[in-house]
Amino acid sequence: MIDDEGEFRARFEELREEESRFAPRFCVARPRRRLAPRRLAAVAAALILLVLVVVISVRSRRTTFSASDRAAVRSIAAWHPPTEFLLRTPGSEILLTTPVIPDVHSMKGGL
Amino acid sequence: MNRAELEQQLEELHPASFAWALGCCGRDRGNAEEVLQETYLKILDGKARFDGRSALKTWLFAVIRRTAAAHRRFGWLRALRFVAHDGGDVADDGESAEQRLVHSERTAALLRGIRSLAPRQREVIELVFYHDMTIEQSAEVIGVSLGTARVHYQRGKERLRAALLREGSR
Amino acid sequence: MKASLLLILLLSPFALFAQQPAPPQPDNDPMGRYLIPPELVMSQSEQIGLTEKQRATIKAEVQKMQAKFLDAQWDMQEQTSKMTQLLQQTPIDEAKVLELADKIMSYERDIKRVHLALLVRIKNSLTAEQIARLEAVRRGK
Repeated sequence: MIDDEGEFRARFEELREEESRFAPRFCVARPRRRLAPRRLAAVAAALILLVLVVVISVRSRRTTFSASDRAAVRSIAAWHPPTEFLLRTPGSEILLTTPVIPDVHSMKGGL
Repeated sequence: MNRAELEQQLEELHPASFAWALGCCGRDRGNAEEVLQETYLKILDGKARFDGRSALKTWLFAVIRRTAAAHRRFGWLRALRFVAHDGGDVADDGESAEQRLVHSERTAALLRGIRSLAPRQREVIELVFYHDMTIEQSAEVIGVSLGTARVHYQRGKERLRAALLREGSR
Repeated sequence: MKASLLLILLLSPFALFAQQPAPPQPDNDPMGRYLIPPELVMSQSEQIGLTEKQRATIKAEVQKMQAKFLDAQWDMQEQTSKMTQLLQQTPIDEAKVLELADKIMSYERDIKRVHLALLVRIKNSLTAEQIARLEAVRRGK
């Protein structure tokens, strides 16, 4: 996680230096705009239409589960508490595995 | 803070504000300049008031972001030429060569990677890495909880890393 | 009888009666067996006919969980770094280690709680029929 950050910071620093050349001089200009009065009714009608389109498109959009959602549930399911080691007793791996009994006849010297 | 002090602070933050406005406007220089002007006027006319609860830069960036969102919503109005500028000039037909920023190939690759992010991821990543904000400050700017901002940050880094790896393999 | 074979035969009963639990299999999992893995719900969402409302609920809960999970991991990471440093000292400061362990285990508890809450809320959002279908898929795997 931390390793990326150095790389990202360096790349963004390059971007910042390039874009700093394009910053305009600071000034506060006051543009005057007026809405063309004869078109007000057309603007209102277009706005109503836009709202209807947005509402319809939002309603018909289907919620899907993204790769990020799946990754999120996998990550918490796979999480191991740092203190988990406290529940493991020393040599427990021996107790968890089935011992292999050697073939008597293949043992040198017999029993 | 009186008007003169406020204006001075805005001037000091102007390069960073312009860069953030660029980010909020898809790197369209013309729109970024308009958004910044609208923001400054809002603030100096008292329509957006700084109450001192956060750092000035954090608050200012939040105002720029909201102004850019409103600017985008009514962009179609300007494109349809319903809004007339004083003097009869109509809105721009499109981006002119002067409005396009010229970037090196390396930063162009970074910008392509940034554009591949979801909007909130892009915002948090830019605020943290471009503007040196903490994740907590970025959460304030975009108006989400710290936990949510951390999610956007984590996912944004993963996607950006993947995008830059793809760029590197070109 | 050879000594090694005698030793293996003597130890084998302990393998059968070992107190150390193996990782639980689904059918042997005393609690987990009653909850549905979210990934299964997502992968079977079409087959069980998940409604838009259910999808939205589950997605919102997953995102809430992830935010809290990341928060807890973030805060815990600082404490575990301190712990590893303490454990490398000679002698180890028992009081400080136990104090830190309490903090770490508190974050662990929070994460388990968040995960459990997610599993419960997801199951509560499903119908009985959907649960039955998912459990059938789970048994079939």
